[in-house]
Amino acid sequence: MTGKNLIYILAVFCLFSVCAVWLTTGERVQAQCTTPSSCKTCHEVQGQKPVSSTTDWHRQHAVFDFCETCHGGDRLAEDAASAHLGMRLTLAEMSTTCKSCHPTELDTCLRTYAGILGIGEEDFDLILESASSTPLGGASLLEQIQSGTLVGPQITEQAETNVEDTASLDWSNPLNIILAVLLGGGVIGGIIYVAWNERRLRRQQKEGLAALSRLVAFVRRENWTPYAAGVLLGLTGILAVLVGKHLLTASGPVATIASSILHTVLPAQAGANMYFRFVVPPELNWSVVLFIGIFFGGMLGALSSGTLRLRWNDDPVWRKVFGRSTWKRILLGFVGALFLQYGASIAGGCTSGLAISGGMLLTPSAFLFMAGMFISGIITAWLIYRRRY
Amino acid sequence: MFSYLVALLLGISFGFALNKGGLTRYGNIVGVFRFTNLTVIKFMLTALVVGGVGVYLLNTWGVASFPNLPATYIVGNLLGGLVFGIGMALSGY
Repeated sequence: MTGKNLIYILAVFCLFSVCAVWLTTGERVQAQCTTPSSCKTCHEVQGQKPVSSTTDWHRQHAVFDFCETCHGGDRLAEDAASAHLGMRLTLAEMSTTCKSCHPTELDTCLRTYAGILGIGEEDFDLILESASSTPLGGASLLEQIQSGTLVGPQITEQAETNVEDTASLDWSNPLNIILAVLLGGGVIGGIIYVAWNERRLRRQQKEGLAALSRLVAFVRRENWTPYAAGVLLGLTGILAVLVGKHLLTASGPVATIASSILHTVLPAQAGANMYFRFVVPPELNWSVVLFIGIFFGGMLGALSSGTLRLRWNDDPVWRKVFGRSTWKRILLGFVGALFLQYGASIAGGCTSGLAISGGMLLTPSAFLFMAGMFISGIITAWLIYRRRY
Repeated sequence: MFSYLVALLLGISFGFALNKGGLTRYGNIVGVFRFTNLTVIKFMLTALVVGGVGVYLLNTWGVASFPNLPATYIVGNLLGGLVFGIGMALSGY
């Protein structure tokens, strides 16, 4: 690593961060759904009062994570009671929210759902006129027009608060005791072994700071054993849940930054796009900061092992298979990255956000994703390298 | 502000682990699909096990609650994984 290269990398990165911060502090959109919501987790995935196939309305709108946009409530609440606070249940209350997603085609939408909304043709002009002067999120439109006489089909039954409490550990179950004994035995045995081994090693080489210098030497090695690096990542994931109240992600922030750029360059198109408007709204959120940290962390890792330098294409495996051409590396990297980000957006996460973070919480989605990833990865690698294994 | 500082530090730790684990190298990523280099599997599953045990213990003790779980949509997750795998094998990232 030369000093010149380091300065170059830092300069590029600072520019990138400044741009990202500048772009993301701009427009904030009203409804924000950046993570899979608890509405869908309980109602659809766990099947407690699923609505996504009950009416035409839900069939057409439940594809995204929009429950809160129309119904209110607190999407991020952790228990059912507080999640359902302030919910809007009648259509009369939520009709203005149509405009927040369909600013240009309100007329068509109204006609389509006139039956459900319970309004007649004669009201359309009034509604449209009023909608154009009503700020987003203002008072209910239909209430203004018909002064509360209008009531759509109501969802009469309040969602029950039947989400079970997290079960505590049942010590009367012998399996749990056996498991605890095994775990405890393993931990205690491990500690005893490590202590014994350390004493043995210390006897062998009686140096005062041997352990510390060995630690430093280990940290500075370029390739850790993957198990050690995995433990570090696992601990990071635990801390993220404990202190940060988030999961580690790496693909979400990329979409958020892309959304910020789109909202700045093409505000009209980005605003009309459901994905960039609601699923990844432009903002400087926790994950984007994490993403900036990942960049620096990777750099710190390379710096500590003395391998930090600017390079385009010097991986021995790549060179052996594809030759020295740099543009080929860049092109294939770009095409591959398109697939990566597109796939991650469909699945709702990437290797880190879904496979590792979801996997450590034992969500089915993580394992489905990993299965898909390895199936197509193995096939693709086989197709590419068939004659060059 | 504090939460952003936490995010930055966690990100640094995350990136550091990825770099030291060799996940930043093309050969390691593609190697796992060619069965020539299983670094990625070792790294991912170690992280998964350590993180899982830690998070579930913390949850049992009532110290930390689970954040929003990644939602399960069988077709979406699987299809996304399939597309993602193609990209991973092509780019090696």
